[in-house]
Amino acid sequence: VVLGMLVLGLVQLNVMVAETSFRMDELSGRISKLEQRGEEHRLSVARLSSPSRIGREARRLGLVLPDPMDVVYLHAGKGEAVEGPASDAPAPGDGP
Amino acid sequence: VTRPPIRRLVALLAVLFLGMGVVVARLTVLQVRDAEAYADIALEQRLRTIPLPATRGAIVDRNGEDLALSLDAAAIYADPRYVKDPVGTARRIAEIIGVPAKDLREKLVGATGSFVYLARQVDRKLAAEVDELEIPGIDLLHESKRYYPAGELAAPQVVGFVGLDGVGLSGLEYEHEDLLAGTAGEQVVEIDPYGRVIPQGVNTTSPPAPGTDVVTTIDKSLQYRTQLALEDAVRRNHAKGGTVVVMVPQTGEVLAMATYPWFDPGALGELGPAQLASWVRNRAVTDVYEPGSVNKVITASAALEEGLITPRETLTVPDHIGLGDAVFHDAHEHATERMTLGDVIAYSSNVGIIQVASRLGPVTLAKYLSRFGFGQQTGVGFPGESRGIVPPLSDWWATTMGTVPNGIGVAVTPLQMAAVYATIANGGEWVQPSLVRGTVDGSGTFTPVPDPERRRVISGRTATMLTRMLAYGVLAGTGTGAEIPGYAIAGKTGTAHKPKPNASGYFANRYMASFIGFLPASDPQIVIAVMLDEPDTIFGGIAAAPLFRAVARHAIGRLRIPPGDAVPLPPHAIALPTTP
Repeated sequence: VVLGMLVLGLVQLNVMVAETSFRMDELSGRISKLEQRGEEHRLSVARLSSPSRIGREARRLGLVLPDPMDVVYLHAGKGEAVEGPASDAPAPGDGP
Repeated sequence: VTRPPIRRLVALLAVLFLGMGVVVARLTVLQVRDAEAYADIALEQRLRTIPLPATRGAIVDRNGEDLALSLDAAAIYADPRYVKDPVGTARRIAEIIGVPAKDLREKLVGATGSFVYLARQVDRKLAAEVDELEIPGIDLLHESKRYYPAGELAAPQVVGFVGLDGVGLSGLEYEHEDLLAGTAGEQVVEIDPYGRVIPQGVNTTSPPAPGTDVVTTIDKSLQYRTQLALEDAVRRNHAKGGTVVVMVPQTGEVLAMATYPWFDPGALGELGPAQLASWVRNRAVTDVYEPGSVNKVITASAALEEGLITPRETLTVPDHIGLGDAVFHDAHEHATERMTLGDVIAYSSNVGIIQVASRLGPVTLAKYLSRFGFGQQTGVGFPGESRGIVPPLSDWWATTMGTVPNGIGVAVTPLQMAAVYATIANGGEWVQPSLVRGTVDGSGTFTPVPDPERRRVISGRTATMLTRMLAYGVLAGTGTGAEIPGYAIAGKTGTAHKPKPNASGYFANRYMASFIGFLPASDPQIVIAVMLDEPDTIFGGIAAAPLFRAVARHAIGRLRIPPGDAVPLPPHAIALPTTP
């Protein structure tokens, strides 16, 4: 009986290992797809925030460029405007 | 019942034993002697090596905004030997990926070997749809596609582009190929006959090392506005092209670098061969031009630094001067005038600067040209950087002391010339220009590039006096077109005939117009160099100075540059124009 139980346990263990392996395969495929989707979104953001696209859209809406001296640039971050020139902005990876 | 003859039984037994012996011997060969070899062959049949390509690093602007990034894509290929219906196959694939079916059909029919690409860099989703068709002889290969999301208005010549195989071919893409490319990995797995991974089978992975992101010094917004201003100036002045460099004098960081005409790195296929050869060049770094009068500051710097002239000293300046067998003229006829060095710079007197240069002599002038970086690469880190052209002293003639002080007979890149003015703006210290701030590795850690090379060229006192002279030129001299109310700007105009390529002499009516300056003069935060190629308005003060002003106005807003204090005028003998 003990031997039978051990054999059954071993079989069950192997089944679990096989299932886990298939699941890992599936999850790794999902991770790849999500990473790919993340990169696609990154590209979309870059395209949508491109100054040339915004300029084109603005012209389509009949808007005109303001006098450059009247433009105030704000740096988005933590919900508050950050004073200072762009050259002071932290480089990627500098921040927390 | 008769018993079988014993002999027959023995014979049968012997045959059986012999047969068994053969089987056992064969089994021994297979299971013992050749066991390892067969096991290896079997394992090889079950193993699959999956290449894991490294993701190419992105190129971002100084604020982390993407200028170039890669996404997974696929190449669709065919083994034409197994494609039974080339016409139908071409049609079905063409419908999905949106290319003419005729093109695919020609590739399938015309292929002679066992492999032909049908399409490269296809979107993964579309490629998956093709895969689902399960057409015999059609398969996919993993690759990546490079995107340039801001297109042609984000320093295309600086960023560069990659080829179909994702390898950098120009610009920073080429310069930093080793960093950006990363290292490919691979996964080796054991599969069953249905292609599924066998649990507990062989499964080893060498993960790919993703490429490093390159953080440039470019400010995407300022770059965009700079390019718009440049394009507008080229059109207004009916010029052939133009170049603008915007840099920070204290650090050498280039915030914007534009060359018109430009191109969209994501649509290289639309360029003809001539356009491809010309438009992709980052002329600010790779091409040279004769700078003209913007070069006068080097002679003036050298004379002040060597104590061969004082700012208060006045020169007697006619409107022409003979040197060797040549006669040099000022841009406009005028009676003989008294001029200080400040007047010579502000009103860009060719004759005046030749008189100053004669005090220096060729050896000292050549020494200062070299100190300011002429004839040497700046080391900005860009492929194909030109070192410029400075004739060796042995080739200087009597007339050379008339041409070189006026920026003729020497050739520099726009970046070299911008660095000269950055040196003055930085109190006399030359700082190596840079296009890259640092790198960001896979874990997100930012590593700055080493500090730029620095060297003292002139004293702070000389630089301050030159700044006053350059500010005087914008206030009252040839550079008034660069004025911005409320800001003291220091700058110099330049107008130079274009030399004939592959022949001696100059074109009679083709000019390079330039203006290089910095602001605010009292505390310089930015240097802007602009050049227009063959403007019909000819003069730097008319064609280029307004472009400088346009770029400077954008920079003031973008970088929040305060007006600064007024700069005292240098000693001058020419009366200031009266304000109406």
